[in-house]
Amino acid sequence: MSVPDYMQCAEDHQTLLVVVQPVGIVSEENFFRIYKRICSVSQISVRDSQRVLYIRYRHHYPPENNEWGDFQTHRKVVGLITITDCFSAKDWPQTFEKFHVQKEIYGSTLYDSRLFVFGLQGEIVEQPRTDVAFYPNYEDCQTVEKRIEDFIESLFIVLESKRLDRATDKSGDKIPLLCVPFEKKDFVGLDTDSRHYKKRCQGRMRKHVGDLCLQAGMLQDSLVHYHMSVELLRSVNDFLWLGAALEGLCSASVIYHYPGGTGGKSGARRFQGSTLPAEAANRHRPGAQEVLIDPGALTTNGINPDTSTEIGRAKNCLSPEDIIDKYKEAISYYSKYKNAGVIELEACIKAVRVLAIQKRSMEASEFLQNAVYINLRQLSEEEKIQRYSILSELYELIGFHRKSAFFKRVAAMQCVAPSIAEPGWRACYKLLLETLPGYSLSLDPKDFSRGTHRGWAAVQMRLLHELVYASRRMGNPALSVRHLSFLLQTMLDFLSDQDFQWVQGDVCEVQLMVYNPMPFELRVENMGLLTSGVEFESLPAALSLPAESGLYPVTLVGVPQTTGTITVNGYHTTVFGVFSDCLLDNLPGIKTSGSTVEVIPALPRLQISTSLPRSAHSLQPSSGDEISTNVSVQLYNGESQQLIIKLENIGMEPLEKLEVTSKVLTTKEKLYGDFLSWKLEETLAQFPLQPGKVATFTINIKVKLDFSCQENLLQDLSDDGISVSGFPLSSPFRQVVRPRVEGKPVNPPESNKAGDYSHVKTLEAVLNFKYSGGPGHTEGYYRNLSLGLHVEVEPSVFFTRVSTLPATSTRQCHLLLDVFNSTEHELTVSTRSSEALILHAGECQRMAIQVDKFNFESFPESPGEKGQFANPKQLEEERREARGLEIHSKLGICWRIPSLKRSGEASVEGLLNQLVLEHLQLAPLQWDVLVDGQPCDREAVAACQVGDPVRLEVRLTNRSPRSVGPFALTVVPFQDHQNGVHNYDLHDTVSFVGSSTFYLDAVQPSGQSACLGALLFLYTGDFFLHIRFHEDSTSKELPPSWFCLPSVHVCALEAQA
Amino acid sequence: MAVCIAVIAKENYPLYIRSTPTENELKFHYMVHTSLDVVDEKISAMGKALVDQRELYLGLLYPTEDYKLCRYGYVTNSKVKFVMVVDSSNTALRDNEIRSMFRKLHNSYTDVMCNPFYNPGDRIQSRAFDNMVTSMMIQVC
Repeated sequence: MSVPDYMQCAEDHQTLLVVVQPVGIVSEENFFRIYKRICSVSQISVRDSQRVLYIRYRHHYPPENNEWGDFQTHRKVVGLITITDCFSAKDWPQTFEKFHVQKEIYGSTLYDSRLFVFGLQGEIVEQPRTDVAFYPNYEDCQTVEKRIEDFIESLFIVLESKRLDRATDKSGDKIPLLCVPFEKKDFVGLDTDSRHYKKRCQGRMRKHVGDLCLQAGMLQDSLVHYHMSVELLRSVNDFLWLGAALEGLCSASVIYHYPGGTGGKSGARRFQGSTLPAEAANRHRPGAQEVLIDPGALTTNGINPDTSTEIGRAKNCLSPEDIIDKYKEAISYYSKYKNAGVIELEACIKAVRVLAIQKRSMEASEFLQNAVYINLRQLSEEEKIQRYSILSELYELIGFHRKSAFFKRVAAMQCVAPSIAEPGWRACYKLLLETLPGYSLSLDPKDFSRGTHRGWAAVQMRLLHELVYASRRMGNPALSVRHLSFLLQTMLDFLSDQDFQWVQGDVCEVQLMVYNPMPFELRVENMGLLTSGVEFESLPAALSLPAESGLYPVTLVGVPQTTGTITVNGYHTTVFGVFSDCLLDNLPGIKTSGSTVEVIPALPRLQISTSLPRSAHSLQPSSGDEISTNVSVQLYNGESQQLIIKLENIGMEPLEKLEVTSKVLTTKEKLYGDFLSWKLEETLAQFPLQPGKVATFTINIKVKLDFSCQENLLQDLSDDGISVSGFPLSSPFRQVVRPRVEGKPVNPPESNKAGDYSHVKTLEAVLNFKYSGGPGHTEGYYRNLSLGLHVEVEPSVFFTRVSTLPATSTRQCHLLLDVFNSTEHELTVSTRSSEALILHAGECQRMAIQVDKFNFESFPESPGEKGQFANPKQLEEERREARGLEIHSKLGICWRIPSLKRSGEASVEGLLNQLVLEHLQLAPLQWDVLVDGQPCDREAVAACQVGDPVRLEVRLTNRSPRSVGPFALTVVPFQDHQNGVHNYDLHDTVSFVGSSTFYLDAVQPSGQSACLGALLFLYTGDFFLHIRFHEDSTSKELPPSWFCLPSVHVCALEAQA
Repeated sequence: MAVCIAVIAKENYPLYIRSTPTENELKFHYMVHTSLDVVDEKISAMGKALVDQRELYLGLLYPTEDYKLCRYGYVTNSKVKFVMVVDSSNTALRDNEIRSMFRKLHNSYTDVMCNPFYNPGDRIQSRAFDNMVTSMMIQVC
């Protein structure tokens, strides 16, 4: 069980769980209309109003939670109500079938089920059936409630019979052992006859009967059963179930003590009309409910004068203090089991609700603290939000407003976590607003109007910042500005000064907050700034201030004409024709005596426009990046596109200097190659850029993400005839098809999984333009401009599998690639050496590419050979990347979508694993075999004459960085009968001139060595020479793939006369 | 020793808060702020006790929120609260030591209040108090 119900409360133990679900297509509105009516029937009096049944309805319930039904019967789905639309009799059998399928899901635990059919009329409707109810439409169904009542009564009958059945089980019969899902395997092979085992069975059954009694409205009996169960289970240390029995005891006692319910708002649903405050719980309660539940009350009403019940009640029911102790005990038992995390969590929550009613906040906080630390599993983002919100609610419940606000804020932040694809800024904002009281913040400026600010400035400021940001992100700039101005107004003392400068010749702003205390609208004309220090051209504004305006923001602008330090001393206005200069020094309400700003020399201004469409998607701004424009582009994986940026100098100074940097925002995807590349020189050639002139700047966007399909790419290398050792297993004659394009039937499971590949991935980058010019440049000032780039990468082709196959030559090999077209278009794939392969949408084909093996060791990037253990893993990674790049450039695999006229590269870099690389690698020891001076490789057949000695030379070139050898080689001739039989018995046919064993001296790095021998063929025929190494210790140190010698095929011909 | 020391006014706003290391100040603000729930709860529970018998030291507030940071509370007769976050990762401080630290803090706070130029309820900006707090906090090396 992994889905906790955060709304659970102790009273839920006495409820019967009924699932209400729609079948087929039922509109949500109609379903919930009926669902609501069904839910209104939440308690039913049975047995002449002596007992009450409580029903808990759910429209969604995970079947895996149902499996815990034996453990706590309120988790068991006992009733199923399905609602369906059915308009013609023809559909009826199918609908009924669906109902049965639905029943199967909870089949093992259902007591009874009902089907409500809406819309059907005619013959079928006439037949009375107990399990199906027909209604002509959703309006005309008055009997729904009655039907539900009947249904619940039928549930009661089953429940009652189960209860009696179980309760009367005498110890003579064998009691079955109830267990929870994860226990089942633990009890295999246990001695079922031991006393210990029997007690365990009894204890668990008692607890189960207790649950059933509680559900059947027999609180008293349940208490007795629970008590007995606790005793039994304690004696056998059956902790999990002991915990459950204790919790049952607690639940029953809570129901007794607090009939008003502990569930708060959600619980009140069940007690409509009697929204009892929690304190009133112990007071005398009105209504039939009390009569029915409280056995003590029964006596007072004279219904049940049996005093034994009274005595039993006093003894069995836990006191409010005991309830908490027992909850603690139960939770400590649950905590022993990792699999019972949900049970433990829910028990904590239930206990907190009880403690909240008891007003014991400290203890409640301890339970909550425990709940915080229960680790269920990897929660989804949505579950995390739910979890934090509920924690917040519970803290609120126990009066811990600050803690509640803390968790609510965490929940709000969770709504917009970076891992969430579509951040819920609206929800985040809403939750943040709810945290305000917890941080004693009120958005009413009146509360802040006078005196110094008193409060948690740092925390409050953070919250206001978050509000500003959230409201901006949810697309409500007006709201954002409102929060921002509030932040400025109330927290100015705590905000840090940001250093800024004005630029000579640029329009600069000063914002003032003014206040109109008059009871009429005020027209202010000619309002401008009073400055000193720098020649300043003030651009006066005219405005009208509403009557009793409150604080009202006014922006005054001007242009500094010279450089230096400017001081804003005050402002001038004309009101009612009276011209007045107001110096800030003379204003008592303002502490600062003017602001001082540095004016720097003039700088050019750049405006950028791009060839790509602007993006609505704004990037998550990282620190310090104020992004002016966002552009977006959609590319297929491997595709390149040019982004042409027009740089226009809209300032008054020439643009002389430009620096461009890019920053790829953190992405989980692995990028191969350069994502963004550019040549700045071409643009700089157009500089200096005079005012009004435009320069272009071209950026190459190349997306090359992984072309493998991750987990689907399970290399199964052995089935393609690759030996792990690197030796070709096959005979040299094995006919390996030359570079081939072999249509292979698509593997059906793979093509079905096409959806898995079609994830669109997103790459984001920020381009920073740092530019300068004019007098500002000489002083060393720069301006910054950022461009956000949003690239959506659609998958193009995937390599679902990669493997290698040895070629006939030892210097070459075949690379086999299964290429999958994940686009919706026809696509061609070609390599440097082969013709194009056409792939239809969703098709997978294998292509084989013959490649010359690579000599990776010659790479300069392989310092790892030196055996430095600085960071072997990183070195290995680097080397692998370098190899991948080399292979990629050699292969040159390209795809093209003719219909869209788009093309790009496909790279195997990401999917070459160590094994494949090893196969593609040229062994550092290069062996050449020469017959009569002619190199023998591939399928070339060396011809010779019978009776003439044939010169055989074996040459070794050592490319490895170490000296190798000496080696001893033996030449073994054989004949291939082409039927799997090799004939090695050739003593009479082939003779060696000299020894058949050659000896090769040690070869220094990059040295060469050769050994010579000769053969004499006595008869004509096709012969093969297998050159074998004598195994000794030196050769064993080296990988076997280094000793890969070409086989020699010699054809001995009749001697010419 | 202490990593954060806060003095909270009767109305539950901070009069003084300082923490080391300074870069993660906000975290400590949150920590102290949320502990006030428990402080309030403890004070209201204590309210019934006689004033002169009242124990000023509130003991451990939240033990396990952070693995190695413990928070302790102390309340003066005028309902001014002291909250201290203690790094207990290497040294397990005894209750007595915490008590004596709070007493020292209380004395120093009394000195601040005795300053005729200090308005009760304003932020504490006394150098003497500052030095005393510094002496109680570990110096980050």
